[in-house]
Amino acid sequence: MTPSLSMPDDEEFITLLLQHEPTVRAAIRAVIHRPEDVDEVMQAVSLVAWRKFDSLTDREGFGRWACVIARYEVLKFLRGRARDRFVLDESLMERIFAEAEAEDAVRRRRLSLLERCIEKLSADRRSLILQAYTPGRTIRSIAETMGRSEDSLYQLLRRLRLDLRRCVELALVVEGETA
Amino acid sequence: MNDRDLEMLDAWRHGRLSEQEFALLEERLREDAELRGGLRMLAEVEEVLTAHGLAAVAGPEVPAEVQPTSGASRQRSARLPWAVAAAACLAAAVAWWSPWLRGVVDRDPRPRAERSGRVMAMLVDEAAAVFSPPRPAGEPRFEPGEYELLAGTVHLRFVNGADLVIEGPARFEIQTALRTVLAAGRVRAIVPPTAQGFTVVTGDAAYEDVGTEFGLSVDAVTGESRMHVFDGTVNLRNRDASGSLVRSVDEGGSVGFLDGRLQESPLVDVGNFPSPNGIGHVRWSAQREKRLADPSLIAWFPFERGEDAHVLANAIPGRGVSDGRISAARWATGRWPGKQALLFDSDGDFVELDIPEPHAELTVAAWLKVDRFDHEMSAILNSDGEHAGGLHLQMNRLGLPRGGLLGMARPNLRWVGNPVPTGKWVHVVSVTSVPNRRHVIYVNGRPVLESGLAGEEVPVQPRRCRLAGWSRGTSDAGNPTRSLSGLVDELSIWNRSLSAAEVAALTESGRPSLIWSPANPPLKVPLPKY
Repeated sequence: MTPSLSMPDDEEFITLLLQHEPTVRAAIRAVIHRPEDVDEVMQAVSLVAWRKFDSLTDREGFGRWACVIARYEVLKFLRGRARDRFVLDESLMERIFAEAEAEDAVRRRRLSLLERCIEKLSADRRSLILQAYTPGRTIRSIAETMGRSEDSLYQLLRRLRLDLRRCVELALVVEGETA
Repeated sequence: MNDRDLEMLDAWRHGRLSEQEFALLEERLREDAELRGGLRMLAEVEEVLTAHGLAAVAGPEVPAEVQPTSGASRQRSARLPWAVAAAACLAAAVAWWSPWLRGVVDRDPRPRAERSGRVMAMLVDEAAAVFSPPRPAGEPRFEPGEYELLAGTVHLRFVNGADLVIEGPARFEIQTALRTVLAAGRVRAIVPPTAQGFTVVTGDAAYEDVGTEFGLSVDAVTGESRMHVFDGTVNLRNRDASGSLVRSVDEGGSVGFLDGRLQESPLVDVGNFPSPNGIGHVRWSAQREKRLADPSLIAWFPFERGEDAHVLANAIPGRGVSDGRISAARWATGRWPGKQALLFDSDGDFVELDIPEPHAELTVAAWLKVDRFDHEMSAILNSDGEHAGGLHLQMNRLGLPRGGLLGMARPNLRWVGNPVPTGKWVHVVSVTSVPNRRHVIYVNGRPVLESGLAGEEVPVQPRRCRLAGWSRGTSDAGNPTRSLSGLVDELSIWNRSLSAAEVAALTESGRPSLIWSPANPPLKVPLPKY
């Protein structure tokens, strides 16, 4: 029998990874909160995907496949943090990821809508929430600058995050109605 | 799912839950699929915000109205190549020669933390591109900034998947993954759904692609812009902060701007916009004169279909090698659209040609893409019959190249590289030197088969040959089938030995694209004995 000699093609792999990386990162982010931890897991996912790209016969299913890899890498990562009392248990994480794998396409759409929702924020709100996600800035330092308490700033940021989530949800409903 | 649930989710993500509350949240997540969906959406919100935050630190000055749409893409771009680069370090067999990966791996010694949010696009291909100031050789990454392309054509792929082909002379500024300013030049944008909203801005207007392909030219002197939609729709917007919609232009439509005034249906030479697939072909074609100037090149079959579809024309007649006579093989697309190849798909598909003169040395090079290894041997170029001086260049079922000079023994034969894979363009070169008593077969510029040549010297005299087949005698009846299944799109023959460096350069010059990798995977079984 002739062994398979197909090779991981640079261009195809890179193109697929570029296309799907944002959605895979978002899926990881659901259970891992710190951006640097998400980076670490995504790095591991990329490595595994690169090594196993040969075995992926359905290239259109790359996003879902990468999400499956991410599920295992997330579990591996979090096992090292088993003492953290605020880590979801494995069976629950498995469910969250299994559902994430099934919604790869809609997640891509949601990410695109999110960009538009951020644009729709008023300039001062947009500036505020982006500050909160700027490396080196802390809630405390922003609160001090604004002359507010940390808690009230957190409440405001939480409201903005939930507003953005709601904005995407509504946009999806509108799209569904006009489709 | 209710507001309280969502607030708890957010509080958990920001370390503001007590253990009791966390236990309650876990319970709620277990029982409520909608809440799990809410968690994922909240995570998406934070992921996009994080990307924007990093971009704000890493990026250049970008117009305020543009930043929010750009940050996420910018940040994604920087993370990814390094993820791939790390993979590439481990998969050294793949990475050893790829300019894309080499560029990523070698050129940026900065610590990871300092690399955030810079790369907007990658150079996929180029033809005779000259930038001012010159770009580092082999550097594939494009960061936000201004660029001047003095000549040639480049194909950039943005991190969101948008393709922008730019023909020089051109001046442009990459601001974000979704926004490029074109001061002068001619471009074609191809925008997949992932990059919807990709915008090219001119002095007068912003052309926003809402899918899928348009061409745009900007005159360097007058600033006049002309845009034609090849497919989908382009929104023409004011370039001011309002970004208000002027009008939408659908497939087949054209608009322009001159001195700030909209021009309806201007004359647009739609055939003159650069195309991504044409670049490699242009690059290859540009080497024609240099190639033909080599007096040792005795035959070059560029695989360009002529008036007689049954003739494979030798572009260098009069140097002792005939045209090819095509038997049944069909013309097909080669390494690039617009470049032809021959498709060999059944046992009767081959090309016959004559190399009658004897030579002390001979180099044969071919670009091919194998579909299957159907037979014990798949021939690339084999002399008919079994006469002394006949040349064989073929592959076994594993894709390992085989061959040599009939009439001389091949001591010390060994495979030293990886076989030819299926489904990928590869460059196979056979170098035979009788005086040096040496035979080497290269695949993609690397030696794969090496052997000595022993015994009484026999000059290389292929005589009648078959490309993609073999005939043992005067009749094909009873011949072992050695037909090749796949495409061949170039064949060159020199009456001297090409050096290893020349072979590598030859492969490089004909590569299908800039990010095509010459590395092939190793065999998954032990190397067989010859």
